Amino acid sequence: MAAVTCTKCGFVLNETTFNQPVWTGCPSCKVPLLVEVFPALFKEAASAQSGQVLVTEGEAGCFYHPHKKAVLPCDACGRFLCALCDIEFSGQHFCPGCLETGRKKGSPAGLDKRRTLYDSLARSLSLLPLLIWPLTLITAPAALFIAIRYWKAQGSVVRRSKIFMVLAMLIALIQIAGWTILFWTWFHR
Amino acid sequence: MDDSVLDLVPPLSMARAEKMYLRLPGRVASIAHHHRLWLGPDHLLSVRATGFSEEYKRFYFRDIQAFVIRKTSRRGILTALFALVAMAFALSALLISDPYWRGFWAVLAGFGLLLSAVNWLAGPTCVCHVRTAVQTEQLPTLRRLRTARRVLAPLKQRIEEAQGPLAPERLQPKPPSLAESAASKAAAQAPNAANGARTTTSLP
Repeated sequence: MAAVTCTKCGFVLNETTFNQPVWTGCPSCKVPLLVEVFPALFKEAASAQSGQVLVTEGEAGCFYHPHKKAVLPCDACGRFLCALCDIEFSGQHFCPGCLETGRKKGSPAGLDKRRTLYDSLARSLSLLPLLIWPLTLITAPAALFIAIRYWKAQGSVVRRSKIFMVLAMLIALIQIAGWTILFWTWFHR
Repeated sequence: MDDSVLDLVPPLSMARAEKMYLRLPGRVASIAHHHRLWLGPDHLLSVRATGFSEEYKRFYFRDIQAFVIRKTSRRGILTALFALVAMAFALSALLISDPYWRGFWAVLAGFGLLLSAVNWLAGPTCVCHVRTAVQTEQLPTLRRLRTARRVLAPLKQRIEEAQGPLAPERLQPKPPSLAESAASKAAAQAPNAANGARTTTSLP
């Protein structure tokens, strides 16, 4: 069983402190703790499965390990995989290659650890320079460019709306129109 | 590998994503970043937003081993601090004869008292950690016990659905084995017995 420790002093907590309805003091530093444990704490770490060796000639082999027995196909590329190469993720089975390529492209979702929010960038570029309005001569086209260039880019995992992009484009277009009118007026005075 | 095969991998559609995550109570914000917790179909998502990017940490229900909530004294300290500041402003208001400045200091004192009261009424403060087989991570948004309980109630239900119920005998203290009892005796004889049981090791 893995050990649960006090998050202040690192003392290993025992079963008497687990799942208590009221505060329980750490036996070492006496700090009040509430420890909620789940069955995964008591589960033995699963060992990796190695692929089974092919015994008959008619059996399908793994794409990456031809001498190992294929157990299922990759859900992305369809290649046959042995137990070692099979990676289960969100109920699907992938080969390591597809998973790595997918991770770089942000697909399947759930693998990415970081995302750039181009919609927030475009919105800020269109709104913040209004405080020092001459800056909008540069930032408005920049905001418009980002909004168009990254229109299809994946945004936030949790907030999946294009409203910021649309807002940024509208404001940038208004600013560009304003500058165009201003320059037109100056040149034709 | 040809990228076209990735088209077969179902991407997260907008409608699906919106329904996929449920925002959980609690938020920590500063000038540089802010944290939020989201409840996914099979995991807890911790989002740290820094300006124009977001960083994600996923804790799958089947992997969560424990939550450890530790009570902190931040509530008392902050309440006392706000009250002290309010008292200082109130003293300034009493010592100044100018009615304009007296009013100004009185408003500030009232504001300090209000902050102190709000902080006290928000309830006990805590630090919450989630533990999996490979990591123990702090959940920064769970800084009040009330928020932590509100978040952990639905989480506990989801985790139990994923892992099954915990057998009561798991929570029974185990009788110490011979080796453990010998070790505990030796530790009790040693002057720094408490430190001996700690998991953290210090470098020589």
